[in-house]
Amino acid sequence: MVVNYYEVKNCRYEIYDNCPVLFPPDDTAESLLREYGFVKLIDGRWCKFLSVTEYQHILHGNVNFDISYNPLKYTDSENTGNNRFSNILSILSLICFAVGIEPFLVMSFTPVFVFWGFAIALVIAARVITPKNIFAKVLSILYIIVGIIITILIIILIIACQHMCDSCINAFNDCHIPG
Amino acid sequence: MIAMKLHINTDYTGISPYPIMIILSFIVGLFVQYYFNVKRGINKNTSCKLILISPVMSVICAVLLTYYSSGRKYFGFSSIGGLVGMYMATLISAIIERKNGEIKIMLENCTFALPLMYSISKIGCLFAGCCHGIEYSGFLSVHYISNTCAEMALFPVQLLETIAFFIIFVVGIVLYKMHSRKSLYVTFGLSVSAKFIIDFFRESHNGKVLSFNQLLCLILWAVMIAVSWLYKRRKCGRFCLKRN
Repeated sequence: MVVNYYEVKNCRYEIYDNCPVLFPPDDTAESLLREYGFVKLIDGRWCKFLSVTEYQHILHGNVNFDISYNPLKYTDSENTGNNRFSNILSILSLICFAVGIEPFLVMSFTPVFVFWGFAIALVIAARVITPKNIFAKVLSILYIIVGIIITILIIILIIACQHMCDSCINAFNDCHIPG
Repeated sequence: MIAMKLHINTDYTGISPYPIMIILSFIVGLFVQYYFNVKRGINKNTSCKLILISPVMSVICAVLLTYYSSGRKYFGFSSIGGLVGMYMATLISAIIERKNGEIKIMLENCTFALPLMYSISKIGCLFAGCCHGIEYSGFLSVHYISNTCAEMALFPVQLLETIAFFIIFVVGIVLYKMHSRKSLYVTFGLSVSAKFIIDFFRESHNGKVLSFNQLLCLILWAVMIAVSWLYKRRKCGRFCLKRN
């Protein structure tokens, strides 16, 4: 089947690795392919992995992707339910993160890893279920910032400890026992 | 026969080369990953997010693995922990963006970059004196000189790893340029095998049949076989495919 994917014309519809894909003609410009979300496979060919709605569009006998393609026609109507679920996951994630702050301050690391591990897993689940959920997006940015700060603090701590040890050892080396 | 020896003084007055090489390995590895991602059609936004998440997850997993494998006695950087962190970051970025086909491509690019990152980081270990080899005073033996301990002549295991993993990186890139579908498995398989074999020359392996790192390598082999088997058997269930 030949499919016209917006400006990338005469694409070949095939099944690759059990997924529906479009292979463009060999002479198509790479910049155009990148613009429309085509990716380069390990065997050197460019292809477009179709989304569920795009696949549905083709299944309904349409071979042109242009203004006639409306993904909302094929969208899952339970989207609002997913959004609510993501909000609940995000709230639970925030609670786990908040509970983990106190053990972090008293340097008791096992509960920190457990609670913050859950917090990260929950926010990832929320982001996967509804990628556009703002609450989950903000939480994930917050966790990334906290992660970066902790990483920098660990590095500073290691360098500081190393300098402390070096200065202690140098001090001992400078001691000369008389006689 | 000329007995070439490396003399390394580990008493650094300024900044130790170890953190410099770790940071350099991240910069180079993430640049390679970013370059391949963009070249192969991955969205620049996604590629940039990956640069942000990867070092954080890599450092946290590297530190966690050392902390728990040492019985919660000390912190350090484990290379296998770092590898797991890099893969987790890549997987999370790809799943969140949720574009079919991108997960495999991003994991492939991560696999190509990892041997180069490891190769550079081992230069830091060579100069710091950590992860050192067994006692050896032959060709290219490394003599560590320090005010805190006696001079030791050791096998240049870090140098061997640097060279081996750089070669593996080059082999992976050459196979990728030749469009070989086996390039991913060859790169990953060679990396894990090299890590397994070279660990026999490490001082920490003394008195053990298999070290902790070697056990992790066997687990990684099993994971690779399981993932490739599951990937071949998967059916894209969401699509309910009809062949044309």
